[in-house]
Amino acid sequence: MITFIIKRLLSLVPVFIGITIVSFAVIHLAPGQPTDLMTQLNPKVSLEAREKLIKLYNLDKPVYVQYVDWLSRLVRFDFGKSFIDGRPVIKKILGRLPITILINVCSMALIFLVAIPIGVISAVKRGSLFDRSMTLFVFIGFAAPGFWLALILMSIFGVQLGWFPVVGIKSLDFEYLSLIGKILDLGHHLVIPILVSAFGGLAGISRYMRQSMLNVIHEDYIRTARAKGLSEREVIYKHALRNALLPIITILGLSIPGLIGGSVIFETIFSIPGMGQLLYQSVMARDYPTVMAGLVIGAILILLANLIADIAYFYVDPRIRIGRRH
Amino acid sequence: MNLLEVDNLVIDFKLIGSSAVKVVNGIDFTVGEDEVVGLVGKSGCGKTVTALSVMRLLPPGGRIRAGKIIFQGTDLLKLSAADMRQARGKRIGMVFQEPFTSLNPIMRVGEQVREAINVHGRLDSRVSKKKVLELLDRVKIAAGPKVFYDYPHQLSGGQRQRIVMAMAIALNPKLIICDEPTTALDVTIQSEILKLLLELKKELKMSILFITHDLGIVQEIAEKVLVMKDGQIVERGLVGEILARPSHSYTRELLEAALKKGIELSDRAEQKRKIVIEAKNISKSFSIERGLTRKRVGWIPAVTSVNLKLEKGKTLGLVGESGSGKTTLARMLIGLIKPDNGEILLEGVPLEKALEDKPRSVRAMMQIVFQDPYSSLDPRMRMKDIVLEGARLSGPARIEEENVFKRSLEMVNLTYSDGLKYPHQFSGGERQRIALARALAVNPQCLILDEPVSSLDVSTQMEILKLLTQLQAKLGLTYLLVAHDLSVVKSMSHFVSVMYKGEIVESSPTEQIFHSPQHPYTRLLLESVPRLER
Amino acid sequence: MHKNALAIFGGLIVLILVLVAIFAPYVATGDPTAIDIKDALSGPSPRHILGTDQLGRDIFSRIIYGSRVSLSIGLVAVGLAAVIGVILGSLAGYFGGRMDSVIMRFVDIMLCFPSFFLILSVIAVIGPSIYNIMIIIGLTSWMGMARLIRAEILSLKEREFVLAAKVLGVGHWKIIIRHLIPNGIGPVLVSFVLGVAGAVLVEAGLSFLGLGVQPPMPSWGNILMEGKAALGVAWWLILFPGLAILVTVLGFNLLGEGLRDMLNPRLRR
Repeated sequence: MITFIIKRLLSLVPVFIGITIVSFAVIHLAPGQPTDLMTQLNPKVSLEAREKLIKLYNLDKPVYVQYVDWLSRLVRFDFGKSFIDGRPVIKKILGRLPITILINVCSMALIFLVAIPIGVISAVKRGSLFDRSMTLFVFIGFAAPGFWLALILMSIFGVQLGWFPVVGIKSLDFEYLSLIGKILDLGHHLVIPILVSAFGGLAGISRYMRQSMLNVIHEDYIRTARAKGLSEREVIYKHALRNALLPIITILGLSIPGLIGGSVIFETIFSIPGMGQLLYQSVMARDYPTVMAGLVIGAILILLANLIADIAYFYVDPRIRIGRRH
Repeated sequence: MNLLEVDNLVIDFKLIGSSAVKVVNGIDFTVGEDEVVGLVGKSGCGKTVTALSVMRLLPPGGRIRAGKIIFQGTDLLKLSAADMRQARGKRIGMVFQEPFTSLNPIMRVGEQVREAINVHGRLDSRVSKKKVLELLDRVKIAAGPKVFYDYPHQLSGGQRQRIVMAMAIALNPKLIICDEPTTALDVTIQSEILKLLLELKKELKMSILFITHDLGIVQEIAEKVLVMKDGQIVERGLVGEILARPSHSYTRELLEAALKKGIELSDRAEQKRKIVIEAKNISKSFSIERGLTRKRVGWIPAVTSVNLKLEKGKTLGLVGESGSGKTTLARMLIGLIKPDNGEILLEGVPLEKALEDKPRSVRAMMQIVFQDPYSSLDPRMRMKDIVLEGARLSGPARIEEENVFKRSLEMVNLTYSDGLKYPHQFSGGERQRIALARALAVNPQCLILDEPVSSLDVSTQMEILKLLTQLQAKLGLTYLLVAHDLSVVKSMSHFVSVMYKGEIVESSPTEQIFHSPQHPYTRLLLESVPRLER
Repeated sequence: MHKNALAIFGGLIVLILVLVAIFAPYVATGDPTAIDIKDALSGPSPRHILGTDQLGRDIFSRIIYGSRVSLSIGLVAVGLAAVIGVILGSLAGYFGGRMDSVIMRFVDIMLCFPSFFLILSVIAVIGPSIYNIMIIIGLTSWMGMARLIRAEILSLKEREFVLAAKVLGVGHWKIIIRHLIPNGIGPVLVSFVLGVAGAVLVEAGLSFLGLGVQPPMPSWGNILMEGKAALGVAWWLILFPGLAILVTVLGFNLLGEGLRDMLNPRLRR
């Protein structure tokens, strides 16, 4: 088992290098120097100061040297300093990461707990009112842009009804609340963001679950189970469901990039101080070290999530775990 | 009282968007206590649907329109769903056709058998485990305690079928329905499973309703036989009588096709022997790659040190079961796979070299017809384009193309006007003829036939084999006929080579192989075939 | 048939959208960029059916013209992705070996990036123009189709009609173009249609954040951007462009799913 994980990690090294190359290349697509934005807008900056800046960031050296330099610092977790405020990028990101992870994990959990039962019941009661209304719901969920839903929920529940706050993650009197109070306050602020973030994924996963269930129900071994005299309930939950869940693990893994990407928009709308908002602000301000770091870290998180999904699949499907005997 | 009485059963199928199709059109039959009844017919005649209806497990779209199914005095069709469920497993058991998909792939095999035991009354886990081991023993599975913890994919097809049988007999039902349980298995395994079934019947005093398309199996295992055609039973009676003196024309048709009567081999003894293709000591191994990193963990030898000679104008039958390497061998001879050692000579010239220097002429010398008529034709191409695909490569003019097309169609008895149709609009037999026309369009001297009729119905098999023999006589073609079905090989070949685990164990003229086989495997093979002829 | 009805409904929506986009000048009630400060931020009225924005521009016309932007970006971007994906996927699937490993590694790498964020970064670097948006979306969405066509080719490669063609002497490229791609293109087609829906959402998101289509050119996303600024005041700036996006995406999704269903049963023959 351990050897399997180590082998997988090793095979990911080229992917990691590829990620860094792409991240680096993307930023250096721009004509001119990355520091131009900083210097050109300010006429007071002298030529001397500009050259000093260029030297500071190694921008006078050829591209591949810059890359190797950046990469070697990267593996030591040194992502450089932000163009905006000079603080170490790694500190900025680490400060923002927890809240983004919290929101995404809650979204995933919500999706898991809601979408799977919906999918299973839709499949079992195919063609019923439940199935058809769920299908409708799913299609609309797919089609509605997340940020639009966010705006609507914000204007109805936030502004009109005032039930939920629309901005930030803490109230003004956060510091004075008890521990329980703090947790509740946090939750109160996060309800709408988590709901909105999960909505699209919910639609998708319930659809896939339904499809997977339908595929499995028509398999021969389900017929065998019925021929043995098992009750419908045992047939569905003991035999069909477990087999239908297998591909869903992979799908869940594949939907993680979507969630992380969605953070950018949602955190910006709700003014949540997470990694997505940081990245958006960095992009707008052309703070390239932070942007590059964001790309790399985002990609790595996804890589890890997929690795975990692979391992989980390996564990759960005996056909992969135990090879053939003959 | 009869164990099972089926009375005027009518079943139709209605899929969304199309009209209802009658699949079973008013049949009645009985199965007595301690009796084996064979239900035989072509695919699509309604026999499987009949079997499923007794268990009330019809696939979606199937409806029982009329009739009675009376089992031990109770009409099963009038039972509630819950009561019917009680009957399944406990009073009636079922064994299905596909051993590879009949078991839950993520559940251990022992658990699945245990489930069958616990269905109508949960037993203590130690007690049930003991029962499972007893059952495994009864179905002759070796190493029961280990197999208990195995997953289905770790077992062979024959073993899996035994597990399914163990589940079916777990609660000692009075009737077992077997739906073509051996069709997907090798002949040698098949005969073991049939023997096992008969033993179990005797031990447990149960009746068997055995569905099959193979008359040979019916003779081996059944006492009474019902012949089904197009949803109706056309003949019934004791097996011995029906097979010796069939009264209905359809039964006679089935019998003749099974015996492959009416095929005349060309036998021009005066012709000088000329070797068209020769294989010298060729071998091929495939590597086993395991896990997600695809590391090579070993080699599987597919073909080992094979020597082969194809004589002009004659047919060499290559016989072997699945895994024997015959398909790999055929593909090496045609140049699709390169052998690891040895050489293949095409009229004296090494094949590899000929493919490099003059690939066109090699392709014109030998062609191949595959097994599966459903996947050997591009579903998106029209018949005419399929047939002419090879011929068009040498760039003949339009007029010549027409001639080539017409000629090829004539040879295989297809209609010119069907040229615009797509493969799915043709029957299995017709598709095989299209594949043949495609091969013949480039004027090959030699045809490799890789299981050309295994996917076809018995009567269609006859047509194609007859056609092939006629073509051989007319055009002097050389055939390599690869097959697992001995009757096919026997009816068409001049010489036979028997393959087992990658090696050729025996090679002789046909008569000799079938009348005095030398190698023990050849003998086993011949004995395992359910024989119709006496 | 129930399933087919949905697909046809989706197809109808798409058709109407395309027609509206082409005939926009005839459908809209006025000039989408006409500024009229007097009427700024007024709700739906007989003169402005869907209201006006901060500069008094007619929302209905802006939404109609916005369809041109969304559809053209969607179709071109995904078209580009399809070309790249099919070529790379075919090469990987057919030739296998080194080429397969290298291409698939590249696919894996690209799939690791949260695509929206990557697109955002690139647009920020090279500037938001319609062409840039099309190209970037295209360059970041080909991976799915590459995988699909590769999977199809891997399974089709060993099918007997392909082997028969090889034995007949047909060359590699002819086999790929004449046999493999036509038979394997089904899932890619479905992916294409669904991809257009996705591209429309991405463009809307970009415009919403200010990095997409720039005003005064109307895009459903940038109207929503104005809507956010006027949150709680001008609900029509939020509801209508969002509905436009919803209907568009829904239409393509239904069409795509319908195509997928149509392709499946045929394979069971």
